[in-house]
Amino acid sequence: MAFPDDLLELAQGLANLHPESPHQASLRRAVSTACYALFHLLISEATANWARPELRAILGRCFDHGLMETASETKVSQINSAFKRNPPEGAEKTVAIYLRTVANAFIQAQQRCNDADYNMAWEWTPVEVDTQIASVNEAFDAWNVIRDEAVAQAYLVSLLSTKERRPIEPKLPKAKVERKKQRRDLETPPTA
Amino acid sequence: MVILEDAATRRDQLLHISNQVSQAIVEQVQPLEQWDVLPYFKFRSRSEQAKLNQPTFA
Repeated sequence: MAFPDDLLELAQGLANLHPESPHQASLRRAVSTACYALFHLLISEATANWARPELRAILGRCFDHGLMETASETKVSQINSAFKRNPPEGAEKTVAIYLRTVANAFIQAQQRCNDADYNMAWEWTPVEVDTQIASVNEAFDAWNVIRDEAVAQAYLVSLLSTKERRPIEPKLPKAKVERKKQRRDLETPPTA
Repeated sequence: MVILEDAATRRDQLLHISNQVSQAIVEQVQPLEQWDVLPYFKFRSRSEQAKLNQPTFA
């Protein structure tokens, strides 16, 4: 079984550890572990594209929770906007629905993980933990359906950065830029 | 915080119900598109909430 699947199974195990009187420690660790399961699933899928297997773990260290969450927000927002235009039913829409499930589960998991790890003012209950694990489980299933789709692969790449890469504009030599700036200054009348 | 009837929190239907509730709220409020904030849902059963005796806001 792959590491992310092991983590998800562990999360379920932690959630069931004390069924009669659930402990906050095991409930919180269950939430956190489910979150890590999804985090590692996406990273392992992204790094699996790297041709040299021995470097995949190092590449995986380039991923950052915060950037991945922001990229997921962007993806959810893009898909929601596209759905507002009533796209036709079909494979493309189905893939987008699955992808939104994954991105949304990642956002929710991150928020819950943060709460589970650091917010001691909040008491966790088995239903809250079950919701988190079920949502990550659903994301795993959704990912399995779309993992080879182009948009799913593009989403993995977007998790590395929040910046959209634009085509590089040709750079003018420094002296030319300076001359241009001086010309502009001369053309602009000083304001009183 | 969403409080669900105990019967609705069975494991085999929890995901379906929690998805329905959150989707309905997201469609109405559009938190990301209209407010630039992320929705964050927590679900508890009625009996869990009664046991914890924490305040609810809605």
